[in-house]
Amino acid sequence: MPATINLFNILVPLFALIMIAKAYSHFRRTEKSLRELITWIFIWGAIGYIGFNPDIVTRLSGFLGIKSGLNVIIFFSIVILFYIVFKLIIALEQTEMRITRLVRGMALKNAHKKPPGK
Amino acid sequence: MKTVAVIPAYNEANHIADIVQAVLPHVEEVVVIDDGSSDNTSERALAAGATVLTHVINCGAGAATQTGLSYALDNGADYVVTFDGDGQHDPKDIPGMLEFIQKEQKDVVLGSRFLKKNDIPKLRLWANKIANTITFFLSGIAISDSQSGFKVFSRHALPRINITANGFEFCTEIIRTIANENLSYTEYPISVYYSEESMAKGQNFSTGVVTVFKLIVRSLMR
Repeated sequence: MPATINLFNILVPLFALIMIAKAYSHFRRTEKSLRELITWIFIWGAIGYIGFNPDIVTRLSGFLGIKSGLNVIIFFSIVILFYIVFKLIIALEQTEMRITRLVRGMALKNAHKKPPGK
Repeated sequence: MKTVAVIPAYNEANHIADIVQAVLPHVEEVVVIDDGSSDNTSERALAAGATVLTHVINCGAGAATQTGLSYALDNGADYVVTFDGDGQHDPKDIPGMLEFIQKEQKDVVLGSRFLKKNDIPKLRLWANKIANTITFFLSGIAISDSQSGFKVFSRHALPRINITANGFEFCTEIIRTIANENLSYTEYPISVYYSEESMAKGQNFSTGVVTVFKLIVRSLMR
């Protein structure tokens, strides 16, 4: 629990809660798997907790051996961004595969042959 | 014995009729997959005597090849020859490859541009060496020409080949499938003729980089 509560300590956890609610809503509509939901709860939960209690970062930086608390945040932000970009690339690949399957199915259904004798 | 030739084509109206007519005497059916061409590739191929399958949008050489293989499998082909639509391959190599696959009793025969004296641009030569190395690391199979589009598949191999890569990385995917499915294979020397047009259409440095990137992503997706 932080000694004094700033606007930052309320807004960040609130935003994280909204994002978790959104992820849960996607899960309910079967647009996300349970594994994805748990991952997002973990990521946004951690962001929300750090927003509420930023001192944890200083303790974490000491534990990890990284000198500055800010560096810990930057490090984890980059890791998370890499993860998101990778997920996006995979999602794009899967969408491309679905479109290709559709195009191929249409092509196979409508094969054109030269009429015999022509 | 039914032999089908599969020719993926994208904007090949200038060559496709000649290629179809040159390939037809060696096989029972020629299937041209028009991969979303904006010219009249389909009409020319159809008039030349090919069966035409049309992709409504351009998906890539890998997707077009798989469409042709699926068609051949559904229509009872015993052997399938895949052949490039840009005129770089010699249809006269087809009978030799078909005879070779039967004599050697292999599942796949891979045409190789490097087992025969061919006039190949240096850049292509080095690009192919890099592609061969990557293919070896991904499949464990060392061959002289991993990126050749000229191949023959047996009936046994056909249902086992499932190309998911849309672009040029499909050649490496096929080699990986050969390894994973324990298909028997061998290489066969083929002729190749490069024109300015086929050089412009084939793989270049930037498509090569994209191909490598996609191969890595797909490996991680597995």
